[in-house]
Amino acid sequence: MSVLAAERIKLTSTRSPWWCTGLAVVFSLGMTALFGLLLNVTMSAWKDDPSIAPEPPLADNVLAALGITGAAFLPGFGYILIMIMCALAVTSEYRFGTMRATFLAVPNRTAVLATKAGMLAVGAAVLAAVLTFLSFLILKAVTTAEVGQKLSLTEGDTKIFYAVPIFIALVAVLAVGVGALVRQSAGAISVLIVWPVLIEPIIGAFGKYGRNIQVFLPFQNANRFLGMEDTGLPWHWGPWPALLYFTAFVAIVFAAAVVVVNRRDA
Amino acid sequence: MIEVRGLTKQFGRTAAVEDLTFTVRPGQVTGFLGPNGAGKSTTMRMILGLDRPTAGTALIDGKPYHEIKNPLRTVGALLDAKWVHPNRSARAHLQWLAASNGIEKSRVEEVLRLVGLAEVADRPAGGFSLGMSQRLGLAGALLGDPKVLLFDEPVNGLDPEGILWIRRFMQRLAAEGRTVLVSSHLLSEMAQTAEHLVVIGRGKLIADTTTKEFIERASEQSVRVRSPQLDELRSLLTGKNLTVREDGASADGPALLVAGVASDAVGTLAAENNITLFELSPQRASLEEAFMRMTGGAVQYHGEGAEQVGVPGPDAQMAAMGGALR
Repeated sequence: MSVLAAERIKLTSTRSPWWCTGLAVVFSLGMTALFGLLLNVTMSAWKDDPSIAPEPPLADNVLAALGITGAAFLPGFGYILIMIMCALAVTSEYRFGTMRATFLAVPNRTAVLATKAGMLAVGAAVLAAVLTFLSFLILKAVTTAEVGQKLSLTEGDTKIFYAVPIFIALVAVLAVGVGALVRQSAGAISVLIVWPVLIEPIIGAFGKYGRNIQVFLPFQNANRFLGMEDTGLPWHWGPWPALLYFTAFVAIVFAAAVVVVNRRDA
Repeated sequence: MIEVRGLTKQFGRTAAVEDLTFTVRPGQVTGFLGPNGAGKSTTMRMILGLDRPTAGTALIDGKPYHEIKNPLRTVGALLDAKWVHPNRSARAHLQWLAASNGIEKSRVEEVLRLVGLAEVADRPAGGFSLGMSQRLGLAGALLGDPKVLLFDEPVNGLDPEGILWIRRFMQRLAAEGRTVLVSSHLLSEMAQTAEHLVVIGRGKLIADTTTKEFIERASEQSVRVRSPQLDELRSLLTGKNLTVREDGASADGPALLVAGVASDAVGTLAAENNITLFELSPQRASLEEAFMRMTGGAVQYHGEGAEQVGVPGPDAQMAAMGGALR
């Protein structure tokens, strides 16, 4: 418990976590609002000329995750900013030497990393739950009654409201692991952005072979769990095994970080 | 009590610390002395469990550091005053340290007052001067009221007032019965702070003795003599197997320096042989010269080009090290 108290004070006593959180809130909610308005416009265009899309552009509950997780056509600002915050919580400690001060105070390095990751995962998940719900309310508010007819807490699919927090908790742990492995802010953040936003989609561009590989990539599996996946992929398993797959990936990266941090000189 | 047994740290093929064995006892300030790069910091980091030794052990009150529960309550360390997040206030820095070891919050205010930072406690630590940073580091080390304290070069870069303050502080901590290990590359500084010295050079133990003994052993005793019968005296002295050299830097005529002998012996020898003496004065080599001689072969980064450009290599280093004494 004392380790948790120390980590909490560390996280809340500098400005950068607040900045990252603030940006995550503004971007994800702003994105949702913009997209809701865009749907209104698309709807009136569709009414003029129904040939532009096979179905009417309706908002559904899954869109509440758009600003956080992104979708096939749009990278998610929310989860990227949360990963940056979590990676910085580790790399800035290495940068300023406070990691050594931490290991002097708590020589059990596994406990330090696990506490940090656990605390950030829970905090980020709570933030994600709130943001998803707020996004839902915003969508409901900005869309016309017609566009928003499928937005419902009672009748629609409510999976998104717990799927997003689960995903965010996992990427928080992943970011702590990558931060501890790389130790440098720029390096860790680059890896965390470039991998899901560039590398994984680019692999899909290599035709059939690329798509066969893509179904084994971690973030594609996370998207499958979230219901944001590219349905054109040759999937071998459903959303819940996909979550298991992503969780295993995160666990391997984090375990590697724990082993490396314990082994190397601080 | 700190017990270091056969401690070794290998970085690739070079040994930073080699088979180091010494004990640091409570109730006195123990100086950990050696030139830059001798392995002092590496040794301290191994004692504190930050670096993993290649071989050997370091125990604090009989336990390796990582087995101590709430270690800040047993061991306080100031290795680098800059190990602070620059945007975090001094108070918040001490608060997280305290929280990590279950130390009550009131102790934070206590140590802030103790080191004289109470008034700037809410300012970001990144804006602190070196002296203030050292005080904050000291506050962190004292937070758990530890029995064992380690300081790595605590006076480096401080002004004379800061040096005096830290020195008195360490002596007071030792007088309270604590174990205090302070590293430094300045013998002159340690001579005034420490009662006991552990001296290392190139990662190897050179001496583990009281400061007084080390200085006595280190200081070469020699006698300076001037005489109108200098040649006669020289042959008499060399006949006694004594090392004699001309004192070149003499303004008052030719003189001899006789090494490893008391002035009494030289005076008696002169009287027995009816030699007039104009001067008979015991000389003491400066501390830095002695220190340089003992660790000289053990300095890791020699300036090898120094001789070619006409700068006396060892003397230049001596001057750098002895600056504070003069």
